Amino acid sequence: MEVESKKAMVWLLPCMVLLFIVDIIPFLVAIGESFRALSFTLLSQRGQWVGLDNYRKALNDPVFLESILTTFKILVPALSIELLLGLGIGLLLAQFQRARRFLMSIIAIPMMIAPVVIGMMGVLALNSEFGPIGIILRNFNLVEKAILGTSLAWIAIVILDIYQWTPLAAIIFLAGILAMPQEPFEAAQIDGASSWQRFLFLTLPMLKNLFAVVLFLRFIDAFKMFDKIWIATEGGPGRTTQTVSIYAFRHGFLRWNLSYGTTLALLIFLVSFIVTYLFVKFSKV
Amino acid sequence: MLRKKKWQEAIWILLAIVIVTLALGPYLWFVMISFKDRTDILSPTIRFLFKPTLSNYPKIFIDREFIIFLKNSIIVALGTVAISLIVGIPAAYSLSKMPVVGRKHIMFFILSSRMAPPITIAIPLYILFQKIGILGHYSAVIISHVTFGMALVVWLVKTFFDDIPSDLEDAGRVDGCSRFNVFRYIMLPLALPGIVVSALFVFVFSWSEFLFALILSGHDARTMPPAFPGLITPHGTFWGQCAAAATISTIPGVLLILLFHKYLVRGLTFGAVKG
Repeated sequence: MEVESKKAMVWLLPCMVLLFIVDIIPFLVAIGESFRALSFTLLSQRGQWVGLDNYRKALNDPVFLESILTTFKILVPALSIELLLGLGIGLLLAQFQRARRFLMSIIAIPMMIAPVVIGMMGVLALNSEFGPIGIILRNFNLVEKAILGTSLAWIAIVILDIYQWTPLAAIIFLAGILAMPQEPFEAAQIDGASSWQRFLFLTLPMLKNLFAVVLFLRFIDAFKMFDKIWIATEGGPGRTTQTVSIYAFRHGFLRWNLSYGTTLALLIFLVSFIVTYLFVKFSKV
Repeated sequence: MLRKKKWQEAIWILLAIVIVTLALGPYLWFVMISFKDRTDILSPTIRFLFKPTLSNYPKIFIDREFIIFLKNSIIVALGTVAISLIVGIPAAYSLSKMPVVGRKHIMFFILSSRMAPPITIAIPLYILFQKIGILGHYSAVIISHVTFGMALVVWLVKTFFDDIPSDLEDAGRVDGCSRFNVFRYIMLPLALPGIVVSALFVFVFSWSEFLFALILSGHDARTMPPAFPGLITPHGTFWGQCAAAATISTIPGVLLILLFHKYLVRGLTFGAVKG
């Protein structure tokens, strides 16, 4: 056994070394950077040691706290609707026998389009002069100009996210529904349970783990959402769609305030790390 | 009773049509834009009947040199796939079939590199790559993409190795095959579908990735995604050209789905859910 596990290390070694180079080293650099002040624009900040100043600044930065709220403002409605709609679509597709695979492939297409392209589609579709949805919104006098230029822009981002990621929930739930054992359902039917009761007391509890999987995968990705928003609004108008990733990016690469940007990015990482850890710990996956 | 069933079926079909339209409609609409000329696109009513034109494609790819970004995208994606597979497959194999000490921790460690927000790694990578002078080279973007690609390969290919009964391996060992030959001649061919699927998922990921490419690719290695925002300007965007470039960019993903929909769920959930 001892020898075998040493041999296993040989197979694992390249992977571990590479992870060390691409993950651990940058991570350590990030931590080191967060204790310093490095900026390409402020000449007084040439990387001198400042201790916990960046963290203190971040936790007292109202715009950073606002960006966390903005992230959740987009994430909570998007994920709720994706889960519910996905469950509905999964249940629907389970009714089909022959067409199921075909339907599944078709609805999966939005997931395979680059998020930045989805954002671009949104910009055109919502254009108030020649975008199909923009024209409709204008004709109903819902908004006077393109929605992406108003304080409602976040709703457009939510809808783009729903368009792209509802299929993920749908096909995962579909896989779960198809894998369910049939006997309990037959037994319940014989016992006189209505189809609603069977759904509530059999289907839903059996899908509990998959709910966790979908929620986890979507949370991790939605929390760091960047591409769609960057191309559609760049976080604007004002700061209405400025999520945490956008804010950290702005500090890092537009204001060239690398240390502060890194500090913000580490705090974002901390959140996803905790969520990932809790998920792996408490789920059976 | 029979009547009710028929009704129900009709409703299911109707709903399915609505959902397919919602999923496919926006995509087809955007593809259609790429075949429209400027007056058709800018009309205040949507024109379904129009004279299709191919002119947007040469305009964006040749006149505006998007073909360079396309080439860069291909190089970066292929490089990412190659490294992820070479390093990821042996790791997946050992995590599946060998007594690895601390397997769960190692798996978690590998996963966390997938879960980390790109911005967390991007800034330090920028600083590091600038120091060693590879900022703006293909290698810079490829290295950043491998963080994700390798994690996907390990997690996904491992589930395919898990599916192969250990008896097969034991039989090979009893017959005097070395560990490597068992891997090479028994396990690898059996896990081949999983390897191909992982490779495609990694390809599509790298092909679509935005933030790392934006920060690390500079001008010379710029892939397609970070080149898109530059096409949208407040004063007259050439939407036909945007749509043409976007249409080409969606081809690998759509192909992946059409060819490998069987493994879609598995790939998207890192092997956690088998469809």
